Amino acid sequence: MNEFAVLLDQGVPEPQAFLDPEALLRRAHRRQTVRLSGALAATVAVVVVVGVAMWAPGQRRPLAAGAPVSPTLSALDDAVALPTSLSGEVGPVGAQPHQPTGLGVTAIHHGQTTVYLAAATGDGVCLLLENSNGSGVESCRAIADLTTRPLYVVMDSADGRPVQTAIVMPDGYTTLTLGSDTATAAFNVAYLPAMTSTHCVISGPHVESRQVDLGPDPLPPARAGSSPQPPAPTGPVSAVPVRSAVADLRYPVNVHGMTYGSLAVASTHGGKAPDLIAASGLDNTGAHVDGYFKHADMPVQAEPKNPADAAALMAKAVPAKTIPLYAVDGTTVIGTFTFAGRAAAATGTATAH
Amino acid sequence: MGVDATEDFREYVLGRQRALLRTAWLLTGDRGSAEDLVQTALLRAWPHWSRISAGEGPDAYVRRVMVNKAIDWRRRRWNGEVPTEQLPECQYLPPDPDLPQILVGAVRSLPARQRAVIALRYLDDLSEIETAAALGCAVGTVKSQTAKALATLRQHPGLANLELQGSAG
Repeated sequence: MNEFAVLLDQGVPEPQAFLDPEALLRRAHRRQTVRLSGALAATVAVVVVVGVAMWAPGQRRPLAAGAPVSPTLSALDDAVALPTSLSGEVGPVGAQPHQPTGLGVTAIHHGQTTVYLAAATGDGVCLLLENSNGSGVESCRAIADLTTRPLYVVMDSADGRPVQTAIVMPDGYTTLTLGSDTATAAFNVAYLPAMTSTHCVISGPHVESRQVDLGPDPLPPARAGSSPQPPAPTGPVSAVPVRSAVADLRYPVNVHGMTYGSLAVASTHGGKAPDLIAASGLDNTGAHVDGYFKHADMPVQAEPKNPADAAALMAKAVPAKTIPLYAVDGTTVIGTFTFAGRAAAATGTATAH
Repeated sequence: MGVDATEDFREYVLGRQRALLRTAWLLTGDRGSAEDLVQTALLRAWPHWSRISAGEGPDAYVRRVMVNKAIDWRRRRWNGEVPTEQLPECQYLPPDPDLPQILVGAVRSLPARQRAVIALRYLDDLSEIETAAALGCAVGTVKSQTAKALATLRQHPGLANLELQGSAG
């Protein structure tokens, strides 16, 4: 055990026993009984409903499929600022339904190719690609559409042959099968460095498999996707993010030279907050809207010099403050963000990221 | 459930609850949530106890439930989180000479998955393979999450002199 483990062990308190096994067992038995009763009641109800639906005169009709479950991308939970080399890909808000926000994860790194999964405006997601030819946004989609309109990129060789592919796999889909090749999704993206077919199947242990046609790329020609060389020999794909040194992370910069991003990742960005801080506020109709507030607009509170100072500061009421919420350009006001005052209720009206 | 399984479960709860509570405390950040997490994991384990105890051992299953639940709870809390003008907790740690407390505070500010990896690898002393099994992910993911977590911790001003290196495993 190294020093880190020893210190961690010392820092976590040694608790007293708190559970009575008998009480836990009683609770487990109650829970099991309730579940069995519930399952029995649900089964009976389903049988009755199905029976009525199937046998009622004139009412025979096929049962409707279950309600679709909206796809999710858990990889974006760990999104951090993308490398500065990609900051130029963050376009003006409103130009497209989905624009990369500058936050994302490195999904695949293979040879000179790196595939990024980026959070996008409008509840969307974008695939960004970086290789020896440069970098570019390959395509974007609404996350909710991922299972009906798969998001993928096909990279062509110099002679136009498709040679590599990366496809976004929503949560639950783990395997990409393309001809005789398979790849496992990492960070919600599966990548095959060799492409033997344009028909692929995405599947997972608990989801229905889906066929995806990777035929002619439905999107504009990829700026970074053309590989000047034939495909590299097939080998194990490294799914390990390449940016292990977070000291190099920088916030993306908007068209006015202002940095922007989430306060939640400030600790990985030299402890500095960006000029524009991602937040959810309210627009002029009272609906939630995602945008940014200016760091300079944040209420300033004096730093306590000692415990007495801190106690005095805490005793003071702090009024609520409402500040403008901007688009990523830092000039277009799209709503407001309210800092709850200390005397106000414990919950506020907005959320910063 | 047979008498043997009940007795086995009883012994497990008595013998392991303190260790599980420490891991849960690091995962959740507070004692109350940690107790809830341990109880929830054990309650979920009980219906399958015969299979769990005969397989790879109850620890792996219970830890996996704990980690999944902790991440789930953290997501729900995040959705309802309301920031104030204060910066994240790690930015405001006082220059406390108590290094273990600073380290724990820094670990608690990590994203949920990275925190889970650190808790399992360094508090529970699991290998990378065991951690991957507990988290239900690839060993490579454990390595990358560990590297990310350690890199973040290295940036913490209070941990500048601490040698943060992953152990083999």
